[in-house]
Amino acid sequence: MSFDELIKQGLEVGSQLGPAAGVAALVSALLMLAFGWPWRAPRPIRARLGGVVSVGLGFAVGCWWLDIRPSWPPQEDQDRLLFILLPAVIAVEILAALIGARLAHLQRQIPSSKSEDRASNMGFRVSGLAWLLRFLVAAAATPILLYGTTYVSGDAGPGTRQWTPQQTWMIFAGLAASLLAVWLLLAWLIQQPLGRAALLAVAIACGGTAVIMMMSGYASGGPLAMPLAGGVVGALAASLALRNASCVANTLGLAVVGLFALLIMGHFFSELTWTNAALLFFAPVLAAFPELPPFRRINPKLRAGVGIVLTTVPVLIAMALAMQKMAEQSPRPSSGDTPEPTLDDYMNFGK
Amino acid sequence: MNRRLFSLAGAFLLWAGNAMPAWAAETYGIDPAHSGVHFKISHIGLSWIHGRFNNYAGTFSIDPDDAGKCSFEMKINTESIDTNNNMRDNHLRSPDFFNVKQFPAISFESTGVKAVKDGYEVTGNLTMHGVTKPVTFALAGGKKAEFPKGVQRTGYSTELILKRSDFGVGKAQFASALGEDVHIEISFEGVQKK
Repeated sequence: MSFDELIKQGLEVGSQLGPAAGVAALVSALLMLAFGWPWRAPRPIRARLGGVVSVGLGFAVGCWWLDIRPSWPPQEDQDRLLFILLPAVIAVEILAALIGARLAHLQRQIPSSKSEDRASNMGFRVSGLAWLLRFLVAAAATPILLYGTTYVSGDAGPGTRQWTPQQTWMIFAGLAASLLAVWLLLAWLIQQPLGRAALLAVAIACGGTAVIMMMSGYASGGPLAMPLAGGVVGALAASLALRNASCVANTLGLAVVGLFALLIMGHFFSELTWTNAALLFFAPVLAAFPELPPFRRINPKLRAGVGIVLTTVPVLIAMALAMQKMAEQSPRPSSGDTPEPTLDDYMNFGK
Repeated sequence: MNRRLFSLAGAFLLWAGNAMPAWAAETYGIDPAHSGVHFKISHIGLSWIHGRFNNYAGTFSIDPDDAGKCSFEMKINTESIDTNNNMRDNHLRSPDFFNVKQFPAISFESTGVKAVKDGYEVTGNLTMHGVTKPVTFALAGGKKAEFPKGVQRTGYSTELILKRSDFGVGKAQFASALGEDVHIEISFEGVQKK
């Protein structure tokens, strides 16, 4: 399989998944605008809620567009992602949005000159509660996705469990710490001038995840990343019309946990390599690099642009590695130059 | 004295006679070296892709006098799927098809066995991809042999057709490219347990 053919196939996959991302973006943007009305002075609480709900519903519509139908009761990774993990993130972020609004209200009520310490102390406690909930989500994400699998369960018979309890806890703790670290860093980034670019960085990583997961043999899981990317981009685009940058602050949770979950699924249930999963997950973190003190004097727009470019680099590297692996594993065609059918060919056969 | 001996012998024979059915049921363990679990599925309606599972285990009990007391059970390791194409096998292991990390085994346990010409008709529960459904198939065979010396063995074969969608194997996206019916052929030899 030549590089040109792989590019062609990548574009074919993109053209198939693109409409789902577009629909998700449209739904998300419209909902975000609806929540943010009046746009010149959106109510903070409604705008923040909009940032969560719009992406959640945009993603759901995008999944429906792709004909992704999870089954109930949830038995598989996709079912648990769509029925348990992402709804839990949405619930936590809605709560965090309410907490954030309460925090803003409290800080307005306390006269700043009188007791600045009191206000900051209260703020710390209130935002600490939101982060405690996020910590719980981060800790539960991997166990939820791997529930009942051969990694953690020996239900299939003696000797079928792959990880010892000690290994299990170490892996769960390591992954939870990684998720929380990236989440915290991007939450800090989103508060910087033009920090909303962090969402674009996550959306780019999601787009790459969709294609790379499909290349890694998870044809029904990879596409989930496209409506997620679309939903995030839609909310982000709509947020530009709103005079309230904090409206997308709570969008981040869904985007980061969604990306993390898809990569966990790709690696533990299919053939997505650790290297590619790590490149894709940590790629958005590079968007924070231009925000470091030595670069603070540079124009914020330029910093945001550089951050996006930096994010794209590891995504492209991961894509190249996935293409290389796929080309190596593809059986050599027995009839000269005849290309081998791809997953996309199979999925579109007869349509 | 003789009378007492005769009555003791009679009692023993009576007890032995009652106990005979339990003794008569022969229990066998499946010999993987002389067994096979093969399948074939239509590829875009043009040809058949053949595959097999390389790892499986099972036991069965045969009561020559009472088929109702026969039983069969088998467990197939889904990770061991082999279609002679590494990339396709990895894809078949993914959640797009078998999701082997979530559902590592296909298992069958008989619930009823009837004697028919040349073998048995076996009914039981087949669990695949987290779905359990009753299936019935004819099991032909039952010849016995001592091979190697001192090892009693018997063997059976069956062919059955399952619908992928009944067990949720294969996401909807692949419905057009792959056949709905999966033709399965199982042949096994069992070594009698002592």
